[in-house]
Amino acid sequence: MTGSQAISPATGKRKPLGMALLRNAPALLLASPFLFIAAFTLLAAFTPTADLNRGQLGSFTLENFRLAWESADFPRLYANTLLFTLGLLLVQLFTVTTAGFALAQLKVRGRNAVFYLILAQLFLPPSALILPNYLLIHRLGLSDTLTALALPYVASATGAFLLRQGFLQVPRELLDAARVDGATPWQILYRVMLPLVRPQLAAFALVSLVYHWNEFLWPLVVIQSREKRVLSLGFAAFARSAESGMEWGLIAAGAVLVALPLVLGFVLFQRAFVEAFARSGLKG
Amino acid sequence: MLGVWLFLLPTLVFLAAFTYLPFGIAAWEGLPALGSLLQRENLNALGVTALYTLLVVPLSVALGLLAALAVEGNSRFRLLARALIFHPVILPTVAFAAVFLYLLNPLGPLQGTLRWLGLQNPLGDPLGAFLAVVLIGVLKDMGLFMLYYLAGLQALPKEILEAAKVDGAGRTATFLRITLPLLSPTTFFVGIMATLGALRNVDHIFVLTKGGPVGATDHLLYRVYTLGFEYFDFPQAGALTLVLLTALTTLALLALPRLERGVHYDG
Repeated sequence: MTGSQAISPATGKRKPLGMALLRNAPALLLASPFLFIAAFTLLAAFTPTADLNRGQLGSFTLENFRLAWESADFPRLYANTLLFTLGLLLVQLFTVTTAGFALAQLKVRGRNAVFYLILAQLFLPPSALILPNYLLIHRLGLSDTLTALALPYVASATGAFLLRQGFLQVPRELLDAARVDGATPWQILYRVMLPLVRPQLAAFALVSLVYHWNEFLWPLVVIQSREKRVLSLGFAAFARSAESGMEWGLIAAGAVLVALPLVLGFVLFQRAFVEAFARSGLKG
Repeated sequence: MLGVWLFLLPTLVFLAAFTYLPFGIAAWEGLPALGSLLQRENLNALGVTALYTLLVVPLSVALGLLAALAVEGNSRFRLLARALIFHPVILPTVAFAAVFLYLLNPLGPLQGTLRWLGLQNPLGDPLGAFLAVVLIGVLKDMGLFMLYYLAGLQALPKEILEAAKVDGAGRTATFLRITLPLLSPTTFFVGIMATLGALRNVDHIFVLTKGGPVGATDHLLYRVYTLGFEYFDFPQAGALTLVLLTALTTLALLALPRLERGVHYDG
Protein backbone atom coordinates (compact mmCIF):
# COMPACT_ATOMS: atom_id res chain seq x y z
CA MET A 1 0.00 0.00 0.00
CA THR A 2 2.99 2.23 0.52
CA GLY A 3 3.72 1.55 -3.09
CA SER A 4 0.61 3.46 -4.09
CA GLN A 5 2.89 6.28 -5.23
CA ALA A 6 3.66 4.04 -8.17
CA ILE A 7 0.21 4.63 -9.57
CA SER A 8 0.33 7.94 -11.34
CA PRO A 9 -1.60 10.45 -9.24
CA ALA A 10 -4.74 12.14 -10.52
CA THR A 11 -4.44 11.95 -14.26
CA GLY A 12 -7.55 14.07 -14.46
CA LYS A 13 -9.48 11.37 -16.26
CA ARG A 14 -12.57 10.00 -14.53
CA LYS A 15 -12.00 6.40 -13.48
CA PRO A 16 -14.84 3.86 -13.60
CA LEU A 17 -16.54 3.60 -10.21
CA GLY A 18 -15.87 -0.13 -9.89
CA MET A 19 -12.12 0.34 -10.22
CA ALA A 20 -12.16 3.22 -7.74
CA LEU A 21 -14.07 1.13 -5.22
CA LEU A 22 -11.64 -1.74 -5.66
CA ARG A 23 -8.58 0.43 -5.23
CA ASN A 24 -10.06 2.00 -2.10
CA ALA A 25 -11.37 -1.28 -0.72
CA PRO A 26 -9.01 -1.41 2.30
CA ALA A 27 -9.94 2.14 3.32
CA LEU A 28 -13.65 1.45 2.94
CA LEU A 29 -13.37 -1.88 4.75
CA LEU A 30 -11.69 -0.25 7.76
CA ALA A 31 -14.19 2.60 7.76
CA SER A 32 -17.27 0.35 7.48
CA PRO A 33 -17.69 -0.40 11.22
CA PHE A 34 -17.62 3.35 11.87
CA LEU A 35 -20.16 3.96 9.14
CA PHE A 36 -22.33 1.21 10.60
CA ILE A 37 -22.21 2.73 14.10
CA ALA A 38 -22.88 6.28 12.91
CA ALA A 39 -25.68 5.18 10.59
CA PHE A 40 -27.44 3.15 13.27
CA THR A 41 -27.15 5.97 15.78
CA LEU A 42 -28.81 8.37 13.36
CA LEU A 43 -31.44 5.83 12.31
CA ALA A 44 -32.30 5.03 15.90
CA ALA A 45 -32.48 8.70 16.84
CA PHE A 46 -35.19 9.29 14.24
CA THR A 47 -37.12 6.03 14.82
CA PRO A 48 -39.96 5.67 17.34
CA THR A 49 -38.72 3.65 20.35
CA ALA A 50 -41.63 1.22 20.08
CA ASP A 51 -40.46 0.32 16.56
CA LEU A 52 -36.86 -0.09 17.72
CA ASN A 53 -37.91 -2.54 20.38
CA ARG A 54 -39.64 -4.61 17.73
CA GLY A 55 -36.48 -4.47 15.62
CA GLN A 56 -38.12 -2.24 12.99
CA LEU A 57 -36.49 0.72 11.35
CA GLY A 58 -37.89 3.02 8.75
CA SER A 59 -40.59 5.21 10.22
CA PHE A 60 -39.49 8.75 10.94
CA THR A 61 -40.07 10.84 14.06
CA LEU A 62 -38.61 13.86 15.83
CA GLU A 63 -40.27 12.83 19.08
CA ASN A 64 -37.05 11.31 20.47
CA PHE A 65 -35.29 14.65 20.21
CA ARG A 66 -38.16 16.51 21.86
CA LEU A 67 -38.27 14.07 24.79
CA ALA A 68 -34.49 13.92 25.17
CA TRP A 69 -34.23 17.71 25.02
CA GLU A 70 -36.80 18.09 27.78
CA SER A 71 -35.81 15.28 30.10
CA ALA A 72 -32.08 16.01 30.17
CA ASP A 73 -32.33 19.81 30.45
CA PHE A 74 -30.04 20.30 27.46
CA PRO A 75 -30.09 24.13 27.42
CA ARG A 76 -28.57 24.21 30.89
CA LEU A 77 -26.10 21.42 30.08
CA TYR A 78 -24.90 23.27 26.98
CA ALA A 79 -24.63 26.54 28.94
CA ASN A 80 -22.63 24.97 31.79
CA THR A 81 -20.34 23.15 29.39
CA LEU A 82 -19.73 26.32 27.38
CA LEU A 83 -19.01 28.31 30.54
CA PHE A 84 -16.60 25.66 31.83
CA THR A 85 -14.75 25.02 28.56
CA LEU A 86 -14.49 28.66 27.44
CA GLY A 87 -13.64 29.97 30.91
CA LEU A 88 -10.93 27.37 31.29
CA LEU A 89 -9.62 28.05 27.79
CA LEU A 90 -9.29 31.77 28.54
CA VAL A 91 -7.16 31.08 31.61
CA GLN A 92 -5.17 28.42 29.78
CA LEU A 93 -4.34 30.74 26.89
CA PHE A 94 -2.64 32.97 29.45
CA THR A 95 -0.77 30.20 31.29
CA VAL A 96 0.42 28.30 28.20
CA THR A 97 1.60 31.50 26.52
CA THR A 98 3.61 32.69 29.50
CA ALA A 99 4.98 29.21 30.18
CA GLY A 100 5.81 28.58 26.53
CA PHE A 101 7.56 31.94 26.31
CA ALA A 102 9.61 31.20 29.42
CA LEU A 103 10.50 27.68 28.27
CA ALA A 104 11.66 29.02 24.92
CA GLN A 105 14.03 31.43 26.70
CA LEU A 106 15.37 29.09 29.37
CA LYS A 107 19.04 28.54 28.86
CA VAL A 108 20.15 28.33 32.44
CA ARG A 109 21.14 25.35 34.48
CA GLY A 110 18.09 23.63 35.87
CA ARG A 111 16.39 23.82 32.52
CA ASN A 112 16.10 20.05 32.28
CA ALA A 113 14.63 19.87 35.77
CA VAL A 114 11.95 22.38 34.78
CA PHE A 115 11.21 20.43 31.61
CA TYR A 116 10.77 17.22 33.55
CA LEU A 117 8.64 18.92 36.20
CA ILE A 118 6.26 20.07 33.49
CA LEU A 119 6.43 16.89 31.42
CA ALA A 120 5.42 14.94 34.52
CA GLN A 121 1.87 16.17 33.98
CA LEU A 122 1.64 14.28 30.69
CA PHE A 123 2.16 11.04 32.54
CA LEU A 124 0.19 11.91 35.68
CA PRO A 125 -3.09 13.03 34.09
CA PRO A 126 -5.75 14.60 36.32
CA SER A 127 -8.06 11.63 35.71
CA ALA A 128 -5.62 9.37 37.57
CA LEU A 129 -5.62 11.87 40.45
CA ILE A 130 -9.38 12.12 40.98
CA LEU A 131 -9.19 10.99 44.60
CA PRO A 132 -6.47 13.31 45.94
CA ASN A 133 -7.67 16.17 43.74
CA TYR A 134 -11.16 15.77 45.15
CA LEU A 135 -9.86 15.75 48.74
CA LEU A 136 -8.01 18.96 47.94
CA ILE A 137 -10.99 20.65 46.27
CA HIS A 138 -13.17 19.61 49.17
CA ARG A 139 -10.68 21.07 51.68
CA LEU A 140 -10.69 24.31 49.70
CA GLY A 141 -14.48 24.41 49.98
CA LEU A 142 -14.86 24.37 46.20
CA SER A 143 -16.69 21.11 45.59
CA ASP A 144 -19.79 21.37 43.41
CA THR A 145 -18.49 24.39 41.49
CA LEU A 146 -17.56 24.82 37.84
CA THR A 147 -14.34 26.48 39.01
CA ALA A 148 -13.26 23.22 40.63
CA LEU A 149 -13.75 21.47 37.29
CA ALA A 150 -11.18 23.75 35.69
CA LEU A 151 -8.48 23.97 38.38
CA PRO A 152 -6.55 20.75 37.60
CA TYR A 153 -6.30 21.83 33.95
CA VAL A 154 -5.14 25.43 34.40
CA ALA A 155 -1.53 24.39 33.86
CA SER A 156 -1.14 22.42 30.64
CA ALA A 157 2.10 20.68 29.76
CA THR A 158 0.90 19.99 26.22
CA GLY A 159 0.05 23.64 25.74
CA ALA A 160 3.28 24.90 27.26
CA PHE A 161 5.39 22.74 24.96
CA LEU A 162 3.24 23.52 21.93
CA LEU A 163 3.70 27.24 22.52
CA ARG A 164 7.39 26.83 23.27
CA GLN A 165 7.67 25.25 19.85
CA GLY A 166 5.97 28.26 18.31
CA PHE A 167 8.14 30.79 20.13
CA LEU A 168 11.33 28.99 19.12
CA GLN A 169 10.39 29.48 15.47
CA VAL A 170 10.31 33.28 15.86
CA PRO A 171 13.44 34.75 14.24
CA ARG A 172 16.05 35.97 16.75
CA GLU A 173 16.59 39.25 14.91
CA LEU A 174 13.01 40.25 15.59
CA LEU A 175 13.54 39.84 19.32
CA ASP A 176 16.87 41.63 19.30
CA ALA A 177 15.37 44.53 17.40
CA ALA A 178 12.55 44.82 19.93
CA ARG A 179 15.05 44.68 22.79
CA VAL A 180 17.21 47.39 21.24
CA ASP A 181 14.10 49.52 21.01
CA GLY A 182 13.79 49.14 24.76
CA ALA A 183 10.75 46.85 24.92
CA THR A 184 10.13 45.04 28.22
CA PRO A 185 9.73 41.22 28.14
CA TRP A 186 6.00 41.73 28.61
CA GLN A 187 5.80 44.05 25.60
CA ILE A 188 7.91 41.67 23.52
CA LEU A 189 5.57 38.85 24.37
CA TYR A 190 2.34 40.69 23.63
CA ARG A 191 3.28 43.02 20.79
CA VAL A 192 5.87 41.00 18.90
CA MET A 193 5.52 37.32 19.69
CA LEU A 194 1.83 36.70 20.26
CA PRO A 195 0.71 37.41 16.71
CA LEU A 196 3.33 34.96 15.49
CA VAL A 197 2.14 31.98 17.55
CA ARG A 198 -1.51 32.24 16.53
CA PRO A 199 -1.48 28.85 14.77
CA GLN A 200 -0.18 27.14 17.93
CA LEU A 201 -2.75 28.92 20.08
CA ALA A 202 -5.53 27.91 17.69
CA ALA A 203 -4.38 24.29 17.70
CA PHE A 204 -4.23 24.26 21.48
CA ALA A 205 -7.66 25.91 21.74
CA LEU A 206 -9.31 23.27 19.56
CA VAL A 207 -7.80 20.37 21.44
CA SER A 208 -8.62 21.90 24.82
CA LEU A 209 -12.22 22.56 23.79
CA VAL A 210 -12.76 19.02 22.49
CA TYR A 211 -11.11 17.41 25.49
CA HIS A 212 -13.02 19.36 28.11
CA TRP A 213 -16.31 19.38 26.22
CA ASN A 214 -16.19 15.57 26.44
CA GLU A 215 -14.84 15.32 29.95
CA PHE A 216 -16.77 12.97 32.25
CA LEU A 217 -14.91 11.44 35.19
CA TRP A 218 -13.74 14.59 36.98
CA PRO A 219 -17.14 16.32 36.68
CA LEU A 220 -18.72 13.12 37.99
CA VAL A 221 -16.56 13.40 41.10
CA VAL A 222 -16.83 17.15 41.66
CA ILE A 223 -20.39 18.09 40.67
CA GLN A 224 -23.26 17.01 42.88
CA SER A 225 -26.15 19.31 42.08
CA ARG A 226 -28.26 18.88 39.00
CA GLU A 227 -28.04 22.53 38.00
CA LYS A 228 -24.27 22.41 37.68
CA ARG A 229 -24.00 19.32 35.53
CA VAL A 230 -22.05 19.49 32.29
CA LEU A 231 -23.06 17.80 29.05
CA SER A 232 -21.41 14.39 29.36
CA LEU A 233 -22.48 14.09 32.99
CA GLY A 234 -26.10 15.01 32.29
CA PHE A 235 -26.16 12.68 29.32
CA ALA A 236 -24.76 9.72 31.27
CA ALA A 237 -27.44 10.12 33.96
CA PHE A 238 -30.08 10.44 31.26
CA ALA A 239 -28.80 7.40 29.34
CA ARG A 240 -28.90 5.31 32.52
CA SER A 241 -32.56 6.10 33.17
CA ALA A 242 -33.49 5.70 29.50
CA GLU A 243 -31.70 2.36 29.38
CA SER A 244 -33.78 0.93 32.20
CA GLY A 245 -36.87 1.71 30.13
CA MET A 246 -35.21 0.40 26.94
CA GLU A 247 -35.77 3.85 25.42
CA TRP A 248 -33.17 3.31 22.68
CA GLY A 249 -34.51 6.11 20.54
CA LEU A 250 -34.03 8.56 23.38
CA ILE A 251 -30.48 7.38 24.05
CA ALA A 252 -29.57 7.75 20.39
CA ALA A 253 -31.19 11.18 20.13
CA GLY A 254 -29.41 12.28 23.31
CA ALA A 255 -26.08 11.01 21.97
CA VAL A 256 -26.64 12.99 18.78
CA LEU A 257 -27.44 16.13 20.78
CA VAL A 258 -24.28 15.72 22.90
CA ALA A 259 -22.06 15.10 19.89
CA LEU A 260 -23.66 17.61 17.53
CA PRO A 261 -21.75 20.81 18.37
CA LEU A 262 -18.35 19.18 17.97
CA VAL A 263 -19.35 17.14 14.92
CA LEU A 264 -20.64 20.30 13.23
CA GLY A 265 -17.41 22.05 14.18
CA PHE A 266 -15.48 19.10 12.79
CA VAL A 267 -17.35 19.23 9.48
CA LEU A 268 -16.84 22.99 9.18
CA PHE A 269 -13.19 23.08 10.24
CA GLN A 270 -12.05 19.59 9.26
CA ARG A 271 -8.60 20.63 8.16
CA ALA A 272 -7.98 22.76 11.26
CA PHE A 273 -9.24 19.96 13.51
CA VAL A 274 -6.96 17.38 11.95
CA GLU A 275 -3.94 19.68 12.09
CA ALA A 276 -4.71 20.64 15.67
CA PHE A 277 -4.75 17.02 16.74
CA ALA A 278 -1.56 16.27 14.87
CA ARG A 279 0.11 19.27 16.54
CA SER A 280 -1.22 18.52 19.99
CA GLY A 281 1.12 15.60 20.44
CA LEU A 282 4.67 16.16 21.56
CA LYS A 283 5.71 15.64 17.99
CA GLY A 284 6.27 18.26 15.39
CA MET B 1 16.49 36.07 34.14
CA LEU B 2 14.04 36.65 36.95
CA GLY B 3 11.48 37.54 34.30
CA VAL B 4 11.63 34.03 32.88
CA TRP B 5 10.77 32.48 36.22
CA LEU B 6 7.91 34.91 36.73
CA PHE B 7 6.44 33.81 33.43
CA LEU B 8 6.68 30.18 34.55
CA LEU B 9 5.09 30.87 37.91
CA PRO B 10 1.39 30.34 37.06
CA THR B 11 2.09 26.99 35.43
CA LEU B 12 4.40 25.76 38.18
CA VAL B 13 2.03 26.84 40.95
CA PHE B 14 -0.90 25.01 39.39
CA LEU B 15 1.17 21.95 38.63
CA ALA B 16 2.35 21.91 42.23
CA ALA B 17 -1.21 22.23 43.54
CA PHE B 18 -2.92 19.75 41.22
CA THR B 19 -0.23 17.28 40.21
CA TYR B 20 2.65 17.04 42.69
CA LEU B 21 0.70 17.76 45.87
CA PRO B 22 -2.08 15.26 44.96
CA PHE B 23 0.60 12.63 44.41
CA GLY B 24 1.65 13.30 47.99
CA ILE B 25 -1.93 13.20 49.23
CA ALA B 26 -2.48 9.84 47.52
CA ALA B 27 0.63 8.51 49.25
CA TRP B 28 -0.49 9.94 52.61
CA GLU B 29 -3.95 8.39 52.28
CA GLY B 30 -2.93 5.19 50.59
CA LEU B 31 0.35 4.05 52.15
CA PRO B 32 -1.16 2.89 55.45
CA ALA B 33 -3.75 0.87 53.51
CA LEU B 34 -1.33 -0.84 51.14
CA GLY B 35 -2.06 -4.12 52.93
CA SER B 36 -5.69 -3.97 51.80
CA LEU B 37 -4.51 -4.26 48.21
CA LEU B 38 -4.25 -8.01 48.53
CA GLN B 39 -8.02 -8.43 48.58
CA ARG B 40 -9.46 -10.49 45.79
CA GLU B 41 -11.40 -7.57 44.23
CA ASN B 42 -8.29 -5.40 44.04
CA LEU B 43 -6.19 -8.14 42.51
CA ASN B 44 -9.01 -8.72 40.04
CA ALA B 45 -9.01 -5.02 39.12
CA LEU B 46 -5.25 -5.16 38.59
CA GLY B 47 -5.64 -8.18 36.31
CA VAL B 48 -8.51 -6.62 34.35
CA THR B 49 -6.52 -3.41 33.83
CA ALA B 50 -3.40 -5.28 32.73
CA LEU B 51 -5.35 -7.46 30.29
CA TYR B 52 -7.33 -4.49 28.99
CA THR B 53 -4.14 -2.50 28.37
CA LEU B 54 -2.38 -5.47 26.78
CA LEU B 55 -5.26 -5.84 24.31
CA VAL B 56 -6.24 -2.24 23.61
CA VAL B 57 -2.74 -0.83 23.08
CA PRO B 58 -1.46 -3.19 20.36
CA LEU B 59 -4.88 -3.43 18.68
CA SER B 60 -5.49 0.31 18.49
CA VAL B 61 -1.92 1.08 17.41
CA ALA B 62 -1.86 -1.65 14.73
CA LEU B 63 -5.29 -0.68 13.42
CA GLY B 64 -4.27 2.99 13.47
CA LEU B 65 -1.25 2.15 11.30
CA LEU B 66 -3.31 -0.06 9.03
CA ALA B 67 -5.91 2.69 8.65
CA ALA B 68 -3.22 5.28 7.88
CA LEU B 69 -1.80 3.05 5.14
CA ALA B 70 -5.27 2.47 3.75
CA VAL B 71 -6.44 6.10 3.71
CA GLU B 72 -3.21 7.70 2.48
CA GLY B 73 -3.95 9.70 -0.62
CA ASN B 74 -6.71 12.07 -1.54
CA SER B 75 -9.42 10.13 -3.35
CA ARG B 76 -12.95 11.00 -2.27
CA PHE B 77 -13.34 7.55 -0.72
CA ARG B 78 -10.19 7.91 1.33
CA LEU B 79 -11.15 11.33 2.66
CA LEU B 80 -14.54 9.93 3.60
CA ALA B 81 -12.95 6.89 5.27
CA ARG B 82 -10.56 9.20 7.14
CA ALA B 83 -13.43 11.30 8.49
CA LEU B 84 -15.41 8.21 9.51
CA ILE B 85 -12.50 6.59 11.33
CA PHE B 86 -11.54 9.84 13.04
CA HIS B 87 -15.01 10.92 14.15
CA PRO B 88 -15.22 8.97 17.46
CA VAL B 89 -12.12 10.88 18.64
CA ILE B 90 -14.17 14.05 19.01
CA LEU B 91 -17.23 12.33 20.53
CA PRO B 92 -17.67 12.13 24.28
CA THR B 93 -16.81 8.55 25.26
CA VAL B 94 -20.05 8.35 27.24
CA ALA B 95 -22.09 9.13 24.11
CA PHE B 96 -20.10 6.73 21.94
CA ALA B 97 -20.50 3.99 24.54
CA ALA B 98 -24.22 4.66 25.00
CA VAL B 99 -24.75 3.85 21.32
CA PHE B 100 -23.32 0.42 22.05
CA LEU B 101 -26.01 -0.10 24.70
CA TYR B 102 -28.42 -0.03 21.81
CA LEU B 103 -26.28 -1.92 19.29
CA LEU B 104 -25.48 -4.74 21.73
CA ASN B 105 -28.86 -5.13 23.39
CA PRO B 106 -30.39 -8.58 22.85
CA LEU B 107 -33.09 -7.13 20.58
CA GLY B 108 -30.76 -4.72 18.79
CA PRO B 109 -29.56 -4.58 15.21
CA LEU B 110 -26.67 -6.97 15.87
CA GLN B 111 -28.73 -9.74 17.41
CA GLY B 112 -28.22 -12.11 14.45
CA THR B 113 -24.45 -11.72 14.45
CA LEU B 114 -24.26 -11.92 18.24
CA ARG B 115 -26.32 -15.09 18.37
CA TRP B 116 -24.09 -16.58 15.71
CA LEU B 117 -21.07 -15.73 17.88
CA GLY B 118 -22.76 -17.31 20.88
CA LEU B 119 -22.95 -13.93 22.66
CA GLN B 120 -26.64 -13.23 22.67
CA ASN B 121 -26.42 -10.72 25.50
CA PRO B 122 -22.73 -9.73 25.54
CA LEU B 123 -23.08 -7.14 28.30
CA GLY B 124 -24.54 -9.77 30.63
CA ASP B 125 -21.64 -12.13 30.03
CA PRO B 126 -18.19 -11.55 31.62
CA LEU B 127 -16.21 -12.31 28.47
CA GLY B 128 -18.66 -10.50 26.20
CA ALA B 129 -18.70 -7.40 28.39
CA PHE B 130 -14.91 -7.32 28.59
CA LEU B 131 -14.62 -7.67 24.81
CA ALA B 132 -17.20 -4.91 24.31
CA VAL B 133 -15.21 -2.57 26.54
CA VAL B 134 -12.00 -3.44 24.64
CA LEU B 135 -13.77 -2.90 21.31
CA ILE B 136 -14.94 0.57 22.32
CA GLY B 137 -11.49 1.45 23.65
CA VAL B 138 -9.98 0.50 20.28
CA LEU B 139 -12.61 2.14 18.05
CA LYS B 140 -12.54 5.36 20.07
CA ASP B 141 -8.81 5.99 19.71
CA MET B 142 -7.61 4.35 16.51
CA GLY B 143 -8.60 7.41 14.46
CA LEU B 144 -6.23 9.57 16.49
CA PHE B 145 -3.39 7.10 15.98
CA MET B 146 -4.21 6.95 12.27
CA LEU B 147 -3.64 10.71 12.22
CA TYR B 148 -0.20 10.47 13.84
CA TYR B 149 0.76 7.69 11.44
CA LEU B 150 -0.46 9.73 8.45
CA ALA B 151 1.85 12.53 9.60
CA GLY B 152 4.65 9.99 10.07
CA LEU B 153 4.11 8.52 6.60
CA GLN B 154 4.25 11.96 5.02
CA ALA B 155 7.57 12.66 6.69
CA LEU B 156 9.20 9.49 5.30
CA PRO B 157 12.19 10.22 3.06
CA LYS B 158 10.91 9.47 -0.43
CA GLU B 159 14.41 8.77 -1.84
CA ILE B 160 14.84 5.71 0.35
CA LEU B 161 11.51 4.27 -0.76
CA GLU B 162 12.39 5.01 -4.38
CA ALA B 163 15.79 3.37 -3.97
CA ALA B 164 14.13 0.25 -2.56
CA LYS B 165 11.85 0.11 -5.57
CA VAL B 166 14.78 0.47 -7.97
CA ASP B 167 16.49 -2.37 -6.14
CA GLY B 168 13.44 -4.47 -6.86
CA ALA B 169 12.13 -4.82 -3.29
CA GLY B 170 8.52 -5.96 -3.15
CA ARG B 171 5.79 -4.09 -1.29
CA THR B 172 5.86 -6.38 1.72
CA ALA B 173 9.64 -6.29 1.98
CA THR B 174 9.70 -2.51 1.60
CA PHE B 175 7.07 -2.14 4.28
CA LEU B 176 8.68 -4.53 6.78
CA ARG B 177 12.31 -3.56 6.21
CA ILE B 178 12.04 0.17 5.49
CA THR B 179 8.70 1.82 6.24
CA LEU B 180 8.06 0.15 9.58
CA PRO B 181 11.55 0.80 11.03
CA LEU B 182 11.47 4.41 9.81
CA LEU B 183 8.10 4.85 11.52
CA SER B 184 9.39 3.56 14.84
CA PRO B 185 9.57 7.00 16.52
CA THR B 186 5.89 7.45 15.62
CA THR B 187 5.08 3.96 16.85
CA PHE B 188 6.85 4.64 20.12
CA PHE B 189 5.01 7.91 20.65
CA VAL B 190 1.64 6.43 19.66
CA GLY B 191 2.26 3.44 21.93
CA ILE B 192 2.84 5.76 24.89
CA MET B 193 -0.32 7.71 24.08
CA ALA B 194 -2.28 4.46 23.78
CA THR B 195 -0.99 3.12 27.09
CA LEU B 196 -1.79 6.37 28.88
CA GLY B 197 -5.26 6.28 27.33
CA ALA B 198 -5.88 2.67 28.35
CA LEU B 199 -4.92 3.49 31.94
CA ARG B 200 -6.98 6.65 32.28
CA ASN B 201 -10.08 6.57 30.10
CA VAL B 202 -12.78 4.53 31.84
CA ASP B 203 -15.80 6.64 30.85
CA HIS B 204 -17.30 3.85 28.73
CA ILE B 205 -17.25 1.48 31.72
CA PHE B 206 -19.57 3.85 33.62
CA VAL B 207 -22.15 3.73 30.85
CA LEU B 208 -21.78 0.19 29.60
CA THR B 209 -20.92 -2.27 32.36
CA LYS B 210 -20.25 -0.50 35.69
CA GLY B 211 -17.34 -2.84 36.26
CA GLY B 212 -19.46 -5.96 35.93
CA PRO B 213 -20.62 -8.55 35.38
CA VAL B 214 -18.79 -10.19 38.30
CA GLY B 215 -15.93 -7.72 38.07
CA ALA B 216 -15.04 -8.60 34.48
CA THR B 217 -14.61 -4.95 33.52
CA ASP B 218 -13.56 -3.58 36.91
CA HIS B 219 -10.72 -1.36 35.65
CA LEU B 220 -8.35 0.00 38.32
CA LEU B 221 -9.50 3.59 37.86
CA TYR B 222 -13.16 2.53 37.91
CA ARG B 223 -12.49 0.76 41.19
CA VAL B 224 -10.76 3.85 42.57
CA TYR B 225 -13.99 5.71 41.80
CA THR B 226 -16.34 3.16 43.39
CA LEU B 227 -14.16 2.73 46.49
CA GLY B 228 -13.62 6.45 46.95
CA PHE B 229 -16.92 7.96 45.96
CA GLU B 230 -19.48 5.23 46.56
CA TYR B 231 -18.04 3.53 49.65
CA PHE B 232 -15.99 6.55 50.85
CA ASP B 233 -13.12 4.18 51.60
CA PHE B 234 -10.44 6.81 51.02
CA PRO B 235 -7.50 4.74 52.33
CA GLN B 236 -8.16 1.82 50.01
CA ALA B 237 -8.96 4.11 47.06
CA GLY B 238 -5.75 5.98 47.88
CA ALA B 239 -3.76 2.75 47.90
CA LEU B 240 -5.15 1.83 44.48
CA THR B 241 -4.41 5.34 43.22
CA LEU B 242 -0.82 4.78 44.33
CA VAL B 243 -0.64 1.59 42.28
CA LEU B 244 -1.90 3.50 39.24
CA LEU B 245 0.55 6.35 39.84
CA THR B 246 3.41 3.89 40.23
CA ALA B 247 2.53 2.34 36.87
CA LEU B 248 2.35 5.79 35.26
CA THR B 249 5.63 6.95 36.82
CA THR B 250 7.37 3.78 35.65
CA LEU B 251 6.02 4.42 32.16
CA ALA B 252 7.31 7.99 32.33
CA LEU B 253 10.77 6.97 33.51
CA LEU B 254 11.04 4.35 30.77
CA ALA B 255 9.65 6.60 28.06
CA LEU B 256 11.04 10.08 28.75
CA PRO B 257 14.67 9.54 27.74
CA ARG B 258 13.67 7.88 24.48
CA LEU B 259 10.85 10.30 23.87
CA GLU B 260 13.26 13.18 24.15
CA ARG B 261 15.71 11.61 21.74
CA GLY B 262 13.07 10.81 19.16
CA VAL B 263 11.09 14.01 19.48
CA HIS B 264 12.45 17.36 18.47
CA TYR B 265 11.09 20.14 20.62
CA ASP B 266 13.56 22.47 19.00
CA GLY B 267 11.96 21.95 15.61
